[in-house]
Amino acid sequence: MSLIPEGLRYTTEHEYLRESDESDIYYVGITDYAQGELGDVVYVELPEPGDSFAPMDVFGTIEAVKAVSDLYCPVAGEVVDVNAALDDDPELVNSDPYGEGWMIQLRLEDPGEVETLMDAASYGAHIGE
Amino acid sequence: MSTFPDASRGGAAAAGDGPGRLNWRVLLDGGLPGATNMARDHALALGVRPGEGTVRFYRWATATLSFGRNEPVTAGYRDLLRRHPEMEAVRRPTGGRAVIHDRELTYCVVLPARAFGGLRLAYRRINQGLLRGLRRLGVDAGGAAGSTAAPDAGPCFLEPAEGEVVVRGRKLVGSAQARIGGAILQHGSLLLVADQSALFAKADAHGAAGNGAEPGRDRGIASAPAPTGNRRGSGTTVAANRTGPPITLAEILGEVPPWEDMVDAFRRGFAEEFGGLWAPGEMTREEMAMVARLERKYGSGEWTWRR
Repeated sequence: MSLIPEGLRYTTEHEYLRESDESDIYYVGITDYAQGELGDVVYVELPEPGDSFAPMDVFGTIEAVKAVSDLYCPVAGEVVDVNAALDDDPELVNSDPYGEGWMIQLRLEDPGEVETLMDAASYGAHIGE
Repeated sequence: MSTFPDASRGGAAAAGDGPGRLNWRVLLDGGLPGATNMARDHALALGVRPGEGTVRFYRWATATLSFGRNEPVTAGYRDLLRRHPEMEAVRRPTGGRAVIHDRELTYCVVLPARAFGGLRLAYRRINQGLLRGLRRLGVDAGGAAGSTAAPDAGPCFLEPAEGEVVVRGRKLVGSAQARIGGAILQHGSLLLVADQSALFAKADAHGAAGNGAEPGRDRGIASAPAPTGNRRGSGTTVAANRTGPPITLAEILGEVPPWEDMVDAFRRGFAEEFGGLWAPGEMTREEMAMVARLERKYGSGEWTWRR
């Protein structure tokens, strides 16, 4: 069973949105299920702070030993920070996907958009768990 | 040691159960330029439709060095290409490491991302289909135990990843995968004929040696450093993990079977493993329009030399 924390929001493409201390800034990463599917992550390509994305825009890529996957921006927003730790330790995505394995911090254009994403129960149903 | 269940336990009836039952289209292509081959595979992924999958078999117009999507182009690769000006270079949409495509059978499988239950299960099923196809050709192959060593731990075809097709512990098929939108794309190379020792020597020297091997004989798999500056630490050395040089179909069988026989064997192997309905097909007009657009991407220096 994959870890699906309550209180986060999820996309069909297996990204999550987690609140930060600032109301309009959220952490974005991939779910425990997604990292398990990919296997050992060896590389994460992330955007630059200041880049803006629309919902479902590709904001980066993640590569495991054999598989590559695009990363999709859950909602519209501007990147305010990226997780530089993944440069040296991309396996943080495997070991702590919802914590130290976060990828970008996104300032949301419209925080209300969060409600359009799946909650933990819906995401669990989406992945069949 | 195989990490997969024995093929005999996963018969066609079982394979056809559940959400994985699709209608399959088989595409056959002759030798095409690298950019076209990558554009076609990518377009198939972009055009995937629920309930439908595609298997494509193809060749290459000329020897082509392909890089993994995020793989840095090292000085060794540039040196290799300088020494073999007839060789093309292209960057794949999939992960993994560099491959020289020449005398090989290349396969591509595209299916809806969840049809087989996700990336890992799809990887297993596709490799299982390859094993079934090989058995039809009289080849007793298995899935590699593999390791999770960093991908820069040695040449691609010296270091089978978990589940990759090996014979006598030596890699016969190298595969790579991508999730593109709602599709899984997996493609790979089955070595037919190769004399790769010279290339491996170069690879061991990070591609720097180059000993004057004739281009026509240089039918191997290049060294393949992982994306750098952002990767797992290398926990295993090449020497410690090396399973021997890659093996070829010619070495196993004493000859290369006719192309049509090989394609038929793998088509049947996949059909047996995947179940569903199978029919020959063509790319749709929409897919060909995407190919035209994607050929520009895969033929561009901006993409090929992006890292």
